[in-house]
Amino acid sequence: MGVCQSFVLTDEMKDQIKVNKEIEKQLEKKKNMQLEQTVLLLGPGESGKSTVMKQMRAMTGNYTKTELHERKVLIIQNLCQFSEMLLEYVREYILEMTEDDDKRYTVMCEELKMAVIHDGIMRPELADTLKEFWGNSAIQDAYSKRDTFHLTDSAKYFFDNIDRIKLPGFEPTNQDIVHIRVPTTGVAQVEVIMNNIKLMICDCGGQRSERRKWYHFFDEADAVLFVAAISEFDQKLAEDEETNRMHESIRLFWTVFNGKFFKKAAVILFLNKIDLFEEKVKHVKIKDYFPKFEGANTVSEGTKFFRRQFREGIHPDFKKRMYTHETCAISDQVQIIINTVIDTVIQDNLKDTGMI
Amino acid sequence: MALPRLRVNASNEERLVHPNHMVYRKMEMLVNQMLDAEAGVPIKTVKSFLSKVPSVFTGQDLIGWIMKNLEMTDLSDALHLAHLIASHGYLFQIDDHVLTVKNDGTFYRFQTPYFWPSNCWDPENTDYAVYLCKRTMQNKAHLELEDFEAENLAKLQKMFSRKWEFVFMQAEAQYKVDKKRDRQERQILDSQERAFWDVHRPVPGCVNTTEVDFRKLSRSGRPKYSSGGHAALAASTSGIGCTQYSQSVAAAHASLPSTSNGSATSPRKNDQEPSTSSGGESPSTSSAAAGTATTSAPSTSTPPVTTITATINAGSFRNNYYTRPGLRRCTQVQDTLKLEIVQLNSRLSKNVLRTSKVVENYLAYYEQRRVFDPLLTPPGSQADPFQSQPNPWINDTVDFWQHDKITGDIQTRRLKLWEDSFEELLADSLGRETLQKFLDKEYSGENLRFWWEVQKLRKCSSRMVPVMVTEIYNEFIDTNAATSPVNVDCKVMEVTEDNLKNPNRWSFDEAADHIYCLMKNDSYQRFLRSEIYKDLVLQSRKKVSLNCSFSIFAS
Repeated sequence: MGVCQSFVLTDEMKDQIKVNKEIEKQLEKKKNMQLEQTVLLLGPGESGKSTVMKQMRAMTGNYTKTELHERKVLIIQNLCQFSEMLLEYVREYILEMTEDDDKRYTVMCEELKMAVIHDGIMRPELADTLKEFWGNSAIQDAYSKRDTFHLTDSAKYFFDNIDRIKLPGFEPTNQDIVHIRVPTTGVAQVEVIMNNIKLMICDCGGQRSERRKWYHFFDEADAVLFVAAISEFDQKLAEDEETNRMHESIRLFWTVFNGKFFKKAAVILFLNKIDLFEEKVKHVKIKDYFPKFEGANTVSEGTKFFRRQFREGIHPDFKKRMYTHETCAISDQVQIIINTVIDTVIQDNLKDTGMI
Repeated sequence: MALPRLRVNASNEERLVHPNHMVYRKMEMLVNQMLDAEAGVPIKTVKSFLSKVPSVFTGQDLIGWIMKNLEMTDLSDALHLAHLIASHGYLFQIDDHVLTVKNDGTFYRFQTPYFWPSNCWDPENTDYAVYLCKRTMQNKAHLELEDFEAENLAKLQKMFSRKWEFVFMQAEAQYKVDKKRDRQERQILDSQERAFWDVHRPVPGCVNTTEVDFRKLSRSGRPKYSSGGHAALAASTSGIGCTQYSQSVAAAHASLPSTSNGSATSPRKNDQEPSTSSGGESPSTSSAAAGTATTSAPSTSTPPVTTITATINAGSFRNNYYTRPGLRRCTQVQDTLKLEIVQLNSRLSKNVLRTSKVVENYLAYYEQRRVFDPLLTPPGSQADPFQSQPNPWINDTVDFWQHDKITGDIQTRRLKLWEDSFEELLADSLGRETLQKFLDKEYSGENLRFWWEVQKLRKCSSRMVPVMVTEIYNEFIDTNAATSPVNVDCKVMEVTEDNLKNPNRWSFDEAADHIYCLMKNDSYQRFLRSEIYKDLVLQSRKKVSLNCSFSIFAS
């Protein structure tokens, strides 16, 4: 008798749920048709696309407690990965480090893995060892050569903030969150509301094997935000040790905007990591990697050169609708640029459609 | 004729080393000195009534030589040394089976080098049976079997009753071959063969010196060392053209033609000497010398020359191959020790987590999962946050098993497990299905499909391994032609390409681990926040509240 009754009620509940869902979907459709815009985030691997998305998200709302907790665990995991990469480099090139230190740091990495499993709680002794590790001269030597083994640029930030991260009540700030490095696979879609307009942001993986997935979104896009790391003009791809990253960026940009796609979409180019570029241009010559470069080895000359490089290979139709900016995505100031650019572009798009 | 056979034997024997080879080497050096034509023990042919006894020396001669050449002052020491040499089979008394030496006029003879113990003899009972059977075929009174030999023959006949006909045939064949030999030659061979068997099948009460200490045997790494005999048998078979000879006796017969050849050449040398020394005497032929009743000086020296020639040849080869196996063994020992040192060092440098930390980790882990443990948190009890169906073993109901069928929803407990860790999500087939839908929606479904194919590759049959490796490579890994390429960096790609040179079920493990981390760190987080997962949680929670209302209604 009880089973029969529950079965009947279950049927009723199912029907009600379905009806509710349909109604909600219809309501959502009406809203979407009015003010929705799709923005694609494209670019090669590790150029900062996900960081830009995080900043766009941070501009429009706060993270939930669960999300902050997840980010905390990811920070500990990043510290663990960075430590292992540095330690492995030291061993491989036999930089000067005592065997005792090597053992202690290896145990430290194991304990970091345990901390990741146990919800990101770090013991005080572990934090002390971690700080000592970061101060070790061999580790600093390895860090200075980080370009050769693809250590992400966030490593220094996290090691410098261990005192704050180790606290039991540590909650990641937006700066912490934008520094987290997790490779993106597939296409992550996030809805953000900016200036009363709903944006569907599609954050795509940037490695070579991820790019064929971009085509699924080319028809829908209202704007394309292409992110290239200007500071990596002297580095190689993680997936192909033979190819220069900047060459790859430029070629990819030309391919995307060769005239076949995005007939009406706006083109936004972010030359990201300008802060690192400013540091690097002091001791690395652009001409060594780009023989065509003729100007003085300065920030302004360099940025002009690369702007021209990106622009000259695309289809002429896009040149009118192209906006280029130098950005530092991990800096909160990038939010101002994003806000201005998106606002301008979207206003133009809406005018074209006659909705405003 | 003689040299090729000896070389063949030597080259084969080089690969074999008797566990007692160091002792044998020392003894043989001494015996070779004794065999020297000028400085060695004097060997002669003794005449007796109606017969001659060839190639013998007395116990007094031997002991005297030892005391003189080895500078011994004590007679008992010399006797002891002589006894050791005799007991190992290098020399024997011609009229007795006991292998020892007395300091008197008893006659002794040297064993032919072919039968020396360093040749790694390990004769079988079949050979012994053939030998004893052959002995019974001879009519000589002095060749009759001793009592212990007759007993042994009876036992062997009983043991080999099935193939006794074969044994008899072999004995008969050998007997015929022996019959054709020169009488004196046959006499010497018979005594040497008998001495050989006195070493390997000693008189009851005597020690068998051929037994090897077990530790030496295991150290040499070989349970048996008789393959040298087989090689000799092969050589003799090709020479004689008969395959039915037993290995030891046939090989012994094969060595004798060289002896006869040697004796044939020696008389010619002696012919030259008389002409130069005597001047006026006319030379005599070898057959004439052998036929005369009275022996002259040249014929007396014939056997020693023959023995010396064979000995020197065998000795030189033996000396050559002694060093090489020894060097090889030393090298092997060094390599083994170096390997052991490397292993021990790697263990020292291996980092170990302290037990107390391991325990802490275990405690934390299981405390975290307390709510999922049916023993600590009985399903259906008040402490159960998921309000699962009661434990079937306690409440005698089957609702627990049929929950998903009855309600059509996934249990809250199950959904929480997915949230607890990524591994739980992948271990649950329903979890994998749900994740696959989510990933396909995000255009990264190839990651899970690749990972899952690698798991299946680890468990498929051996026959299917190459097929699956090729399929996985073509679909997910091939840089230029893959239909669903997964995102791996060049390091992982390099390792994977190396692994594929020898395809096996673990070739893609590095790539699978890389993709696993990618899914866990990037996609898993978004999955838990996705509408797909949230809807499932909501549905199951509504069911829970429904069950609660039902229980209220029932009460």
